[in-house]
Amino acid sequence: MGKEETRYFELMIAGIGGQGVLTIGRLLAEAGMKIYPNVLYFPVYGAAMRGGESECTVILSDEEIPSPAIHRPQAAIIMTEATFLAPIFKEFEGRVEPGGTIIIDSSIVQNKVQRDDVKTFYIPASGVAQELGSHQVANFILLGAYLEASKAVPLPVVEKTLGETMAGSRRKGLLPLNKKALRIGAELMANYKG
Amino acid sequence: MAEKVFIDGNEAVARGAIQTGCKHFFGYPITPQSEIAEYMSRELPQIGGAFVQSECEGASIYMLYGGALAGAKVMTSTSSPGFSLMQEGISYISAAQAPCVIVNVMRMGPGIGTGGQQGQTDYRQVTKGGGHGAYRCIVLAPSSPQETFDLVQRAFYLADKYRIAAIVLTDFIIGRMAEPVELRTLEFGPLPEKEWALKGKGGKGGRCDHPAGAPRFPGDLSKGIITFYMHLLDKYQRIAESEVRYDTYLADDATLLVAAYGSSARMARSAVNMARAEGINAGLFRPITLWPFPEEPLRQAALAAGKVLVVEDSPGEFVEDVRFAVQGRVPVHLLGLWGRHNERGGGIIYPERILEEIEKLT
Repeated sequence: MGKEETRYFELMIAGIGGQGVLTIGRLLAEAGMKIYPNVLYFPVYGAAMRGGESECTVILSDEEIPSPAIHRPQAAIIMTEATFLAPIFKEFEGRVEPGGTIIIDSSIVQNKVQRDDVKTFYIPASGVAQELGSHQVANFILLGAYLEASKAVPLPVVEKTLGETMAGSRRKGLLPLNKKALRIGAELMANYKG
Repeated sequence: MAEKVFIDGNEAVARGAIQTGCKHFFGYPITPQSEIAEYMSRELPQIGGAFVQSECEGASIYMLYGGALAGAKVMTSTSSPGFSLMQEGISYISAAQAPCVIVNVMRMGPGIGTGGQQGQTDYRQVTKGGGHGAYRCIVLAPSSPQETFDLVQRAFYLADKYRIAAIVLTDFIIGRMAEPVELRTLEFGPLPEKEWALKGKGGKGGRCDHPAGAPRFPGDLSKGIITFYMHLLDKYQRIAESEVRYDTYLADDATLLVAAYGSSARMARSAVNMARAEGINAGLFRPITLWPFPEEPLRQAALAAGKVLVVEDSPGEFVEDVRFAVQGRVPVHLLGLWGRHNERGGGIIYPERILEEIEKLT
């Protein structure tokens, strides 16, 4: 082994219960298991199944991961303005570390990031998902966009993992649509013009 | 190497129990531990075991008691309000010295609390005994899914070895965070026969000392309360002498010792790394057994460092044991739940906040 730089990625995803925040976080972590020796997935959510605050942290690392909770993440996907308790956009916009990446579902979040020390991407994920046939795949579009921007895990590895996790699921019929959404998200990011 | 899976601390509890031979589970759903019962309800019937969803936690604990008296490896799990409901049963279990494993995945606050999110506010109740009668339970506090998987197995071993209730204490963070877990079977050595177990009439099994809960000396019901307690004290002494477990990180040359357990120890470990990067010699002391408490090793580490910072997601309970251990010989500071980043249920004492405190003290 040469003296390669150690690989380290951290992502926070924040939204409302029901948007699939935890689904894509867990998927990224499980896909990361195939590549990284240390992987962590930490969800935070309220008691309500829908409508409450929902966020998660994913860390992929060559080195040991001490804290599951990251206050200044490298990257964040923001899927909502706010919940009835939490000003999600305002909070996460400020928390991403300088030089970090913010990916926003611009179909839902009207606000613009007021910082110039972060890379910001406005991806109209929910709108594109509607056109694809289901607003429920907006989360996969955003994950695809993150994968393209970060190169944390190759898209085919995520697709393979998704196939494995959905194999026994009653929703396995949605697999092709989910994969398509991942691809479209990656394309939107690759062709992003700002 | 055993198979590696990506699971959270709750699933690690369930899998660890089954790995070590637990086939009987009694429980009632409550956030943030329902995944344990969910897993058990799915898996136990397939291996010839029994899962019972009780009508409340007060029933779960007596089902546990009954299963333990029959000599089975039994477990229940709950979260803080449910653990409170179990206190009477735990006292009875302790009177009969019925070996069993109880898991408390803590949530914040008294009453209904924050409705299921993180917190470490059961420390005093769990370590000092929330029920009546001056009993002790072994308390194990893992800080990762892997350690949860391992310590649940150890909890069953210790329960059987000493005829005692062993409590595994986690919280929302440890219960819900997922990491790779190696599904290894731990070997602990031989255990005594359960001659006392109630296995039926006609010489097919022994007899329990007093299932109705009167504290008596095992095997000789003519003996009274002094003999009973002297027997317990002797047992507690043996546990305190041989079962203390703790972990240290960069503590040898530390000039400030951070003391934390469970989830807080994870954040503290990051803070220690951050402090070291700034040239501050911080170290970490993490008790793994909360009872027996690693009093002597903590005192030695604290005296060597010269000052202690306790971090716990509570108003300050664990800090009392730290202060007791340190005996006023070095200053002990506390960063409690006021170190959380916001007032909501999901508030967290982030490593950056712990670092601030470390900087203030050095």
